[in-house]
Amino acid sequence: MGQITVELDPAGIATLTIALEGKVNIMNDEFMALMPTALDRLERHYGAAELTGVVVTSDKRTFVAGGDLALMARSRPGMEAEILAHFERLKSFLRRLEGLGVPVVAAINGTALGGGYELCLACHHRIAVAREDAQLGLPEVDFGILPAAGGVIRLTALLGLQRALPFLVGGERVTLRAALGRGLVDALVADEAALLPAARDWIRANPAPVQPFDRRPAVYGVHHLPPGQRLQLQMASAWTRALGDPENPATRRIADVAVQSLFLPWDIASRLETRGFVELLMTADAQRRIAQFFNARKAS
Amino acid sequence: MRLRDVYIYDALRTPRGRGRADGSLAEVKPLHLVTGLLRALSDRTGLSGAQVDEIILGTVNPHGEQGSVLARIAALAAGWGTHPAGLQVNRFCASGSEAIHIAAAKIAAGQAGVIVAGGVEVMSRVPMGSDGGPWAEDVEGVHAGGYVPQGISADIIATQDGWQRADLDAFALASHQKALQAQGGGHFARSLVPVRDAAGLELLAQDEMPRSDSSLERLARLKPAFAGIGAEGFDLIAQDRLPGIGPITHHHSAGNASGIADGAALVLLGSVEAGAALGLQPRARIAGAVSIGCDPTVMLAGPGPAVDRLLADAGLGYGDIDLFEVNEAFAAVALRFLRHSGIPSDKLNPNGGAIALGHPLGATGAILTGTLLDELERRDLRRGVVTLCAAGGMAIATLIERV
Repeated sequence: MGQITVELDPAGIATLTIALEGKVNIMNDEFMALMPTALDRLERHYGAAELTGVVVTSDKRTFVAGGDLALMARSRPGMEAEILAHFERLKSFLRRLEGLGVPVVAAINGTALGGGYELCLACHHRIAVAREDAQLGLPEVDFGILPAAGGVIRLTALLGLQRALPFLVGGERVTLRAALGRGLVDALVADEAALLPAARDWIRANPAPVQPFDRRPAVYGVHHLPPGQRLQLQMASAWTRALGDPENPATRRIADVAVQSLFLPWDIASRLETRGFVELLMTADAQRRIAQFFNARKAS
Repeated sequence: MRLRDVYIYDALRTPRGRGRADGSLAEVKPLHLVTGLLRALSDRTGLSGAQVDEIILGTVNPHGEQGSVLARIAALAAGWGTHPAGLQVNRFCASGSEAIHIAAAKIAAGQAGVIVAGGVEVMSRVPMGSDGGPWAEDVEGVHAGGYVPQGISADIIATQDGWQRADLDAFALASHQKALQAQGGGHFARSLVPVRDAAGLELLAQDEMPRSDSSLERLARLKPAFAGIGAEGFDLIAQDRLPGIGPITHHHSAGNASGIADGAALVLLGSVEAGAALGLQPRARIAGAVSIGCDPTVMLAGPGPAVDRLLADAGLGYGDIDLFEVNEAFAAVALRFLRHSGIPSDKLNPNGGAIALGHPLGATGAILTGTLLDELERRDLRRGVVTLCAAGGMAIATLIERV
């Protein structure tokens, strides 16, 4: 039986350690079951004015390897409402984390793909060990789906549309060491021992960070975009065609959500991201791609 | 229902200003351009607002200060009173012509007696594309519509037809030379109404964009405008849509494409009875009108097919038409029409076109209609055709016949 632990140090910095059952952490049923209790504890500490920051990390060689592909492989038409509710719930956990009222730092000790990297994106700051043998990225597009835990919206807000699309529609992955240059992490440390001290330092120096999409006024409509940002809306289709597989309909839905996230408030953008995911997941194309992955794994 | 003949009683326009912050009309609101023309129309014809049933105006970016239904507000602001109803029309670059077509259809059907139709676009203040829309900015719309920017479409046409940069630049240079000659000869004088400020001071009296210093050497120095966005992915989209096209050559530049411009134009239309009641002589009859759809990625190749249908509907051939005004959205658009129609090149745009004079999107169809009518009268010719390509893969064509 795994756990998600919360340890509060004397400075009020909580370390949330994901230590699920098995060799790697996956955003599976166990994660879904344990996360609310951990969040309740963090919110109680905050309510008691005991909390000054949160560091999110893993007890394994990987950080969080990804989302629950087994659940996705089981998904069939007719399950749309159930899948939508599941992912809205997962998103609400990440939203609670980023909305605690204190700085939250991802201490990325190993590979964080898909949902695992989306968890990092829901933090205010990302620090990684400069490993060459571990990766960051959002490979959802290769499965014909989209990152449905806020990844499309948060990465677009973090990097801007053009720099985000290679990851979102190209499915590009980078090593932890290379992630700094591409903007996927904010800082690197040499080894795992340096990770938590660096995270604590950042928390002390940044007591009140706000996510970019929460900072801007709640714009609702494309006409609020400054002219300089406007051209991106049509370039999105060109960039997507150049970076992605034109036969993969997920590339266009991802770009569609990313584009809309530029001028819609969080709640609306988030819902349409989840809806886009459910739509794609139910397609034969996505199910074929997911099945191929499992077949390849079985074969090896 | 018996259809009535529809006549053009007058046509007038503002000069076209450079559609940038340093253009002469950049300080003028779209509303002011239109009210100035409405007042001029009253002065020229004795017409009062109470005698006009509707004002129909095309605008391609109908938002902000040229949004809502500017046509109605302009009637009120021009002192035309409360009688004329207003209508906003958008068929992209065909909007000014479409406003005329709608007016003609209403008059023919007996729904209205007198309509002022035209268009307005102040591109310096309300930039092209600033209204957004599903065609260019919605990823789903782009995919369904095969959207590429117009410049890519123009380069597609040049690629398909084998036009080289020098062909396009030579066409552009001729446009400037013809426009300057027309200005010098006063060919635009009948339609042009100078733009004045509220105090009556003149802001612009002539189209300000034709260049006397243009040359093939200068044109050749301009960078291809669309190679960059082509390489970023739009060429791939075009190649997906047009199998077999191969590499797209990017020969269009700022010099052989239409100029971004500010301007407005109006055409006074009415039935024969309405004209008689106003004491006006008809100048020409609307003898045909069509709008068509065509491939949205090639997008700008519609004028030929549109005019084919226009002439077939009228029982005429290309040889029956004395002059053609083909909107010079890009040089390749006019060159494609020349090749498609086989008409002699001196029948096409004899007074230059949008490459030299500018293309204030929603106004251009009405501008060209007036320019064509003036030229038919000046040369004492009978029939003319106005045609424009439009975004989204559309085109429009109007046949006018002097009476």
